Amino acid sequence: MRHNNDHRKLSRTAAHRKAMLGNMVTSLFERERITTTTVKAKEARRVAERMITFARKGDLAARRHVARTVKDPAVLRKLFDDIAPRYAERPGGYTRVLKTGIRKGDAAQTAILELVGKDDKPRGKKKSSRKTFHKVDIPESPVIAAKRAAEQAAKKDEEEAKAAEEAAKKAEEEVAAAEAGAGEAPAEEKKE
Amino acid sequence: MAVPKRRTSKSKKNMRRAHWKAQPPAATKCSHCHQPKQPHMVCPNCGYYGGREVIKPEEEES
Repeated sequence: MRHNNDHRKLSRTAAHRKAMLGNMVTSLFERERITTTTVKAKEARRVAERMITFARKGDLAARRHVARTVKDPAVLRKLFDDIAPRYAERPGGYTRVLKTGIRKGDAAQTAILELVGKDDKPRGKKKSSRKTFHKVDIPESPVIAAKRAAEQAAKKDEEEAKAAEEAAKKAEEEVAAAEAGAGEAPAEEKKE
Repeated sequence: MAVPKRRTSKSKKNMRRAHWKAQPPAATKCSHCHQPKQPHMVCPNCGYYGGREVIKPEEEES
């Protein structure tokens, strides 16, 4: 059961934790990169990603929402005007945690939390070795595409022929032509 | 309540602890400077990680 395992408590009260993460995220947006412990970096990452996602929306409501976490107005401006546009095309994953070894004083595992650079390519999904394929994954084969095009062309020809035929019949006698057209139409559709 | 009849002898105690050993930390070779480094960590020697990233310049001393 993972009930209620939403976040790490970091040995702090809720208010302390919230304040600390807010400060960390603010620093991150200000400096682009911060060094902390791995665990704190991973928690701050969640908050930072959320803030950037809000900043990408860019409206006043989003700005006010983010301002609850990022208390520095200058950093808030930077986040909305400078950082958010950088990630307009990126579907999440704006930050990166890099482990940097053990800290001397307390043997804590340290890490760098940084904003992903502009020219860093998204890593994308690794090629999976799965054996089943979803329909959308398989590109249409040229043979099938050609077949479909031919079918559509044939259908078009058929319709044109039918129209011509009907026109010819109508010219002969209107009543008979109407009956023939009505009778023919469903039969033709079935064939296609 | 069940209770031990005999004090555990030094021999028994030591035999039990014979398998209790520290493991050396895992090590790999840095792909950039070929020095040993811990896996999934920025190389402490050259500051590289993931091929290209110079995460931090060398910090000498201390």
